[in-house]
Amino acid sequence: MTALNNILIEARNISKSFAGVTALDDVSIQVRAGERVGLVGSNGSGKTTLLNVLSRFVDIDAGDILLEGKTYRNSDPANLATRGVVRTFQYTKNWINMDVRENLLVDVGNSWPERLIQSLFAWKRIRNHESALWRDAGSMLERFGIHLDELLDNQGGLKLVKDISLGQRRIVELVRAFLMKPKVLLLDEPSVGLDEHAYSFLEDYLERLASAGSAILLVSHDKQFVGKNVNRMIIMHEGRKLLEEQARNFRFGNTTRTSEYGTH
Amino acid sequence: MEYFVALLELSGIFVILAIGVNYLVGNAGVMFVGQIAFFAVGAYATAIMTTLFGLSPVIASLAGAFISVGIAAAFGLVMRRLSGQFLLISSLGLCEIVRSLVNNATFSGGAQGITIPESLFSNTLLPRPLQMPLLELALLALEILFFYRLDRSPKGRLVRALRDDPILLTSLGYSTTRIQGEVLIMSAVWASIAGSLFAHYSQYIDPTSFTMIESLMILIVVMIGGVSSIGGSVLAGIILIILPGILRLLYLPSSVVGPIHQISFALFVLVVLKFKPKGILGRVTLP
Repeated sequence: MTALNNILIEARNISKSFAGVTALDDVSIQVRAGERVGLVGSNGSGKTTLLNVLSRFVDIDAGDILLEGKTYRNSDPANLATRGVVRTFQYTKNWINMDVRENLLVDVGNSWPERLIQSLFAWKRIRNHESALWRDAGSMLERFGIHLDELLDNQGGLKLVKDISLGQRRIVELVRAFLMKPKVLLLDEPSVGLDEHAYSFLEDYLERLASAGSAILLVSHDKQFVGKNVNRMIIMHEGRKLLEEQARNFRFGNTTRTSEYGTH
Repeated sequence: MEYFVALLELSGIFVILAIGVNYLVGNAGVMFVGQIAFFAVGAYATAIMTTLFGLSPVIASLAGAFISVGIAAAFGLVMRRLSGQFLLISSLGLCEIVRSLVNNATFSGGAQGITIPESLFSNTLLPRPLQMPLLELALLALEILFFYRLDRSPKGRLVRALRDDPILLTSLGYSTTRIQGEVLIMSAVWASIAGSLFAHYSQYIDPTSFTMIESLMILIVVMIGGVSSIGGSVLAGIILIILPGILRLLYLPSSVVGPIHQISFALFVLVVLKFKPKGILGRVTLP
């Protein structure tokens, strides 16, 4: 239980407005190591804005954001990924003009691909390193139910991401996030477009990540998915935190309207 | 024949310039169109250092490249806060700054320009007619190898990722402004080298060779050849420089050569964009 007391990421009384419209109003949340927290609420309730704030893509007007107890309000979003905070996007983000392999060979925390001379001349080292990365990526794709031969085009090369299905794109995005071995994982609608097999592997993998000590914050409209896969639920409404409850005490109403959320 | 060799030499220089521009605009997706500024720096550095200081052409070219790196790095800092049309306008501003500087300064010969004696380039065993073509071919081969290898390296992947989706690249821990700045510097070095070659080729340079029109001309070469395609830039560079040369062989009255050149150039560009919107050998469209 000591791991559960370890707060990895925290938003403290944060507020954010866009052109006078309040998107977040005095919201505080904490996600501990090993915890999976669900963030639910109707459209426009501020869930994605909260994720954007936590990943530093949006500046806050008031309050503070902390990673392992230290503020990161002024840090660069790029710097955050190197400290283990990884996110996915509501509308899947991939490099659509690049193939699946290129999309997965990102090597965060290891700066050598950024160094020009090594990048140009350390061919053998690069080849070995990339083979290892691609092996891991391939095996994870398989477990999500994507066989590599499904990703081949007519010429036998790998398809560009723009030529694969939306569900496959979602999987590529998730695999990339998982390969980065996140300390804090911020997921936006991760289950959209997944078939039954991929859905079930996602559930397993999130559980495994949490057991290994990662903190997971999950935004979703998929009630079944959230209900099954989080320890704690936070309900947002019009930019405010409406309710925070242990998942076992929580039930969903018949619709996603906020008024239908409630507790036993 | 000699006339065509001279035209090919000139197109070789512009191809060297265009490949660097193509990497910056096509691969990295950075809308920077001020390469003629670095081209001018290379040309003037070569002209001034070889004629006034008597330095060897190689050292003068290297000095030009170093100055270009400095200017590109400084502009890279400005570029951190610019994107899209604002970057495009600012890059044209850089061209204008360099052109105004060489037009008004005394060290650059002002509007009268500088003449570069032919003898400066003759201190080798190679016969004179072969010097420029061979040097160009060697540099072109080196440049193609450099950008080809770079494109297939992890660094090149980051550069293409920057073009496709910079936000995603940021979310994975990479500084997009740093990558942009590095590509600008690489491209500036090749533009400067092309400028040095141009100074030796034309043996006389003045500010009229380095206007914004030349910058746009290079961008047209890149677009017609196809963004992100080295082969496309080579092909388009040769076609667009040789095309007006062919017109001269028709022995038309001099009063109509100019307008016909412009009309045929515009028609060629329109036909390519109509039937090959991604350029002759283009693979991708810019986002």
